[in-house]
Amino acid sequence: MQPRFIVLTAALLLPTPLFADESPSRSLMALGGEMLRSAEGLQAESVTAIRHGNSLRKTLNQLRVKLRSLPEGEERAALGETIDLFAGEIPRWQQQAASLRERGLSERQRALALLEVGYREIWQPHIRLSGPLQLDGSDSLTSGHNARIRSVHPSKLNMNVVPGDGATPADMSLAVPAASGQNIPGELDLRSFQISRELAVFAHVEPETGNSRVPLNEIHSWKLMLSRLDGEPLGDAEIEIEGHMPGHVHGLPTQPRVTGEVEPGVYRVQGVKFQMTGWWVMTFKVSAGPLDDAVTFNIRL
Amino acid sequence: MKRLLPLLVAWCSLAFAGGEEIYRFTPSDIHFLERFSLQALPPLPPAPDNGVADDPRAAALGHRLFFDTRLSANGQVACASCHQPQKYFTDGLPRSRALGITRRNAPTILGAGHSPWLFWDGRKDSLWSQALGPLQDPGEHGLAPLEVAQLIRRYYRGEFEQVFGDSAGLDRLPKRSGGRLSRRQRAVLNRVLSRVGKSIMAYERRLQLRPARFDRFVAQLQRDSGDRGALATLMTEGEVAGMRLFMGRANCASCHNGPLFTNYEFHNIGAPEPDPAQVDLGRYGGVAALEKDGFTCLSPWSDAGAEDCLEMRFLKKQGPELVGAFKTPTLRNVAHTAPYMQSGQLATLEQVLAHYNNPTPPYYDREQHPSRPHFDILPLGLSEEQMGQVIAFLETLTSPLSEDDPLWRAPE
Ligand code: HEC
Ligand code: HEC
Repeated sequence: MQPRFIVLTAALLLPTPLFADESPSRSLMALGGEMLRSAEGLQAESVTAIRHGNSLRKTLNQLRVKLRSLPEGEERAALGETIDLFAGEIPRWQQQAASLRERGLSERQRALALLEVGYREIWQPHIRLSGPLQLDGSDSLTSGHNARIRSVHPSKLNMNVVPGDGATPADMSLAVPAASGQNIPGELDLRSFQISRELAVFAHVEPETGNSRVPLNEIHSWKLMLSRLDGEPLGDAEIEIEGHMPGHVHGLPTQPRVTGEVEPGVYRVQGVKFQMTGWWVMTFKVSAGPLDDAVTFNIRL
Repeated sequence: MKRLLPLLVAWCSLAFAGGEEIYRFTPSDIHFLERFSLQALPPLPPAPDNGVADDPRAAALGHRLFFDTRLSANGQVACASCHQPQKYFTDGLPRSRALGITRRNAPTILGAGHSPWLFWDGRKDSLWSQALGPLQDPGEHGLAPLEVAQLIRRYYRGEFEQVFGDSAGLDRLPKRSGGRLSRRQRAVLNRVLSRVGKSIMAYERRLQLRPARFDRFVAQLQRDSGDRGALATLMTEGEVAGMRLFMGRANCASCHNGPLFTNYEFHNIGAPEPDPAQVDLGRYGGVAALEKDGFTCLSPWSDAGAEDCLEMRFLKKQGPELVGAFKTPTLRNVAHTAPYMQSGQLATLEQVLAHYNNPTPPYYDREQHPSRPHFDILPLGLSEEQMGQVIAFLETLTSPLSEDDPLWRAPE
């Protein structure tokens, strides 16, 4: 196990939290943020390892070309040995890269889970929807709780990632192209809790409708809640909204806007409307001072 | 297994063709189909911009206005000239004829009360504001605003006052056309015009569709989906096959959905360009017109507060998908409302299906289009037989004409 990680895990178990002056949920988020950065570090190291491997392979190929041009003799034998050495190194770098990548990914997963748990606890009074955004009046198979959540175990967080065709009930004989001709990736991350592109913002969205579901063909409002990774609300942000259907070159039928910040970090988005079922991608471009970031949500209607 | 696959496929298609399977619907199927039934039609959307939208007296006045040919420059044109009840409120022509020839095809009015946007390009945001278009169009009713007001004063004064509580200042208007109007008089005119529109809208909102065979089929599925005999008397095998294609493989339901078979949104399906010398920019032009329109929900003549005008406040003004896009029309009664598309370019449903099966991309002229029009459909690869089945299905969407309904006739 990575020493850095042991420290972080230990911090969780310590009776006095590492971030003594903050609430436990804040420390959870801070920890998640820290781990996320470490996951990024691992990812970067993995990329470096791959580069090493690649440049070794290039050198190796050049040496092999050279080998072919050499006559039998000492020089050739020596070069042969070098080549064998190089050739042995390459798989080691590849393995290294793969394991770094894997560790990075799993650390990222854990980091996101911690962030989400901390976030949910901090923002609990505002959160009515814990599952993915779902169409009103559809019997989707994915789990969507409308009740307020108390606490959620990190291991349950992936309940909202549904496999590709989750929206079409199994007993349907009408061959309804639920995805309207879209190529939906096997596993689409439909969570309504997401980390931003630059890893600076953790966000949640939900429709402000009676049952927290998305109506089709009806203008309605959303609530967007933005938090920094230390659990501080991200207030006074400028937000730009873009929505489209991948594979359709299609935008939203309306131009939604943020019309107010109800409370620090809690934004009211008005004018949202979807005219088609299928896979939608909603992106919120967020800027606040030096922060320039974007959060994206996948929605399957 | 590889060898078995073709056999399996053959067996499946046989089973379907055999008529046994075709009438078998699972609970999820039925649930899905229910959303297309007239029973699922929601109540009319509230109309905060029209205070008399649901007032029966306004509807009675609107009913008379709708059929009154005196409201035209030559005394021969009424709304009902182009929106004829016995043709499901269309006129059967590619482009309408009155004082002139219109640029586009007359769509039905049935169900229009559910649409946020009116006209093929959605250049109006309410039925009341829409009605002011044809009244003033030189090729349709051909009236100047003052002429509309004078006709109201002459023929409808009493009813007008009854519905709206006052005369809107009709008496302040000059008796004759000609001279310049004061600002105040122009405001009176606008108020009168908007009230004329609001009355007509109240009438249009009351027009109702009766259940078509498709609706009765869905009702039968809900009652007893196992009774094949009953199902088969409502829709033939071919029609049901067409319905399955419509909802499924042919993907029609991705735009033509809900009880009125439309999402009321704008798409470009690449229907042939009616006049390449003057291309129809569709929604792109509609949005530009809305921004200039003096009678929207946001105007002083609307009864709504600005915060109630959601569609206008969040109007999408940009995007390549606006160019050459038209409002998805309802497919209710479509078998009886030929010709088709925004300018009646396609004469028959066979031509429509042939287009969808193998569509031509939208016409593009760099000089005229602000950007390359978006194309929203893909070829379908249906057989002749399958296209015939889809058409057969469309025929099950025909409601009986409501001949005994007084709203479907000229008032006495
Ligand atoms: C000369 C024929 C003609 C007359 C008269 C006429 N219309 Fe129309 N109507 C049309 C045409 C053509 C369109 C489509 C125009 C367009 O989209 O640009 C249309 C569109 C409409 C629509 C829009 C429906 C939709 O789904 O978008 C409504 C509603 C309507 N007319 C009502 C009326 C009313 C009310 C009157 C009388 C005040 C009237 N029409 C008079 C031909 C006519
Ligand atoms: C991408 C959305 C979309 C899809 C998918 C679609 N339609 Fe349409 N349909 C439209 C639009 C938009 C129009 C009007 C186009 C125009 O006037 O240029 C239209 C027009 C029509 C009309 C003419 C109606 C009239 O009153 O003029 C018929 C009939 C029709 N569609 C049937 C179908 C069938 C059948 C299918 C499936 C094979 C289908 N549509 C698929 C959007 C769609």
